[in-house]
Amino acid sequence: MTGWRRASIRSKAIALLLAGALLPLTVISALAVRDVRRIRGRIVDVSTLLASIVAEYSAVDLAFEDPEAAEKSLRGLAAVDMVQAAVLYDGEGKRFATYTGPGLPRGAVIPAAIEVPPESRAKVAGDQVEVYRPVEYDGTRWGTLLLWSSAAPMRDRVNEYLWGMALVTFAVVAGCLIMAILLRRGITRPILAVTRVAQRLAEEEDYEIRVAHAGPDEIGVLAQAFNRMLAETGRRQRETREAIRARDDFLTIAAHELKTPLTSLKLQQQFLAGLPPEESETRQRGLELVDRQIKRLEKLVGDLLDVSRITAGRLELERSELDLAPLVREVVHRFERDLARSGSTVTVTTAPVTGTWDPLRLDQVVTNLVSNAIKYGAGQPIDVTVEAAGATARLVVRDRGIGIDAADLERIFGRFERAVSMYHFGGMGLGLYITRQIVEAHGGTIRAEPAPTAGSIFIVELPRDVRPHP
Amino acid sequence: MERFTRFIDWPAGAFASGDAPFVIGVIGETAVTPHLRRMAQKRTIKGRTIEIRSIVDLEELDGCHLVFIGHDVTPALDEVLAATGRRPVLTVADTPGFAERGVLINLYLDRARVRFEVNLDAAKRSGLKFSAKLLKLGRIVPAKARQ
Repeated sequence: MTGWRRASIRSKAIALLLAGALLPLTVISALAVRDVRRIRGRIVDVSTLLASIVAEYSAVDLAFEDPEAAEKSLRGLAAVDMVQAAVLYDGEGKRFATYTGPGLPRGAVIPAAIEVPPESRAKVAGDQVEVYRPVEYDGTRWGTLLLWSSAAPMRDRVNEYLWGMALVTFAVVAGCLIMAILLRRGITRPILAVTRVAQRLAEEEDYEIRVAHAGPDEIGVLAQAFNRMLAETGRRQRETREAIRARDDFLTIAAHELKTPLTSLKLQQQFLAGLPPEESETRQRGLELVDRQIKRLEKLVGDLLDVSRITAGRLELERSELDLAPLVREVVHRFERDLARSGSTVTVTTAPVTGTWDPLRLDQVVTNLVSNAIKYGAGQPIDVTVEAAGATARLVVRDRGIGIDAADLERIFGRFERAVSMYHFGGMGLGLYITRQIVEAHGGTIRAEPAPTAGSIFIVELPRDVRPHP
Repeated sequence: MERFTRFIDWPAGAFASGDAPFVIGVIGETAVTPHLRRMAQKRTIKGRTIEIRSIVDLEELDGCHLVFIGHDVTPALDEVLAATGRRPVLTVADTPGFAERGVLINLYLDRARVRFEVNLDAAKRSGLKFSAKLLKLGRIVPAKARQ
């Protein structure tokens, strides 16, 4: 049974086919054997019957020792084709009368005497049926009749069966071979193709290969499903690799970002510690620097916390009624010093737009967008606009800086993603990700567009009414 | 002679008792008489002993089962046959023309072989039962004399 389980599908199919074909062959053989036996029985019966009749009528010929009459009696057998010879032996076993038919094989020797007159007996020897029959009348044994008849009809029938079975066997074997070829072409080969692809996949992890078979049959469906699985797995693997790479990059950036203010703080602390007490102005500047570095650290740690909150799905809003315009102006005001350092100017155009939002979170959104605009603004003017558009509040931040490639417009809102290298611009690349998450938590949208001449436009749209979350 | 009796059956009433002998009568001059006597000593017919009777008086025919008629009986043949006819008596002769005259079995020589002819009509009248096999071997003659 294990052998059967181990056998290939083709072997199994052929074995089943052969079994199916050999079953009728066996039945035919059994029927043939029965038929041949029946024919043989009939030949024996007919021969015995003929011998009985002839023996009956020969009794008087033997009794009156009349060989002519006996031969005349025997000649009656000429009407029966199958009779090869008939011989009458007298009471002493000597040949008395003989008839030989046309069917007697050449070279056949009719015994001149039989030693012991046998009793009634019939046997088949090769192509010949031999019947001995005592010739009796009125209780007296006058002699013995020997009848030879041909079993050729039986032999012919046997030959017919053998030829028939040989033909059937040949047809079965040929059919099996053809089926084997068809099976190979139709089933085994495509399955092997799928198997080979799977093996190559396991060995080389090449997710770009595909199974070529595309028939509409089950294997075609399997191949298609396999290909779809390959594509999906390949895509997921790419995504996973990408995610891992982004995370690794992020860790590098984060470590770097966290180390920079720490180094500054350490230096500043050493510097301040060694400063003579009378240099109060220098101390004041040093303390401001420390303050800025601490804020920067605060921001970084805060961003990391926000990301982990968002990832864990625990970003909660504390909504209250507020006007967006003063919030924006306040944030911009907070950037005065940075603006001075970068050389950019900000033009704020606001109209009162009230809504139910989380003030701290919106502050974060505006801060991130303005901070980015200054960071990538290349010292050019920046426009910030707040306006109401029906039930929506719209915040637009436009810079005239380096801009964003069209390919990156969507990507920049992903986690750990930045459109430009970290070595020119600081930051962990979390700002826009957090911004988007906050906006979406409010039920709004954020998108980036290239500005007409240079730079980028970020557009935030927030619903003003609190809509119950579905 | 004995072989004929094997292919002919006598009716049950032909014998006086179960162990009554088979009586063969001989009329006239015949060459077979010595053979018959020898046979009578050695053999049985139908399981009975054989008794040979030389018939000189037609009265003696009574009780005979088989009568052999010699060639010198020719003039008196009709009388003999009148005595045996319609009785289960097998008449046998070896004279040409006797069968036509009413003898049941008449032997003749044909190319050195003894053959016989049978008067079937007379045989039917006698009440004896002739086997078809015997009739196959013998020549059937029409019974002109009776017409």
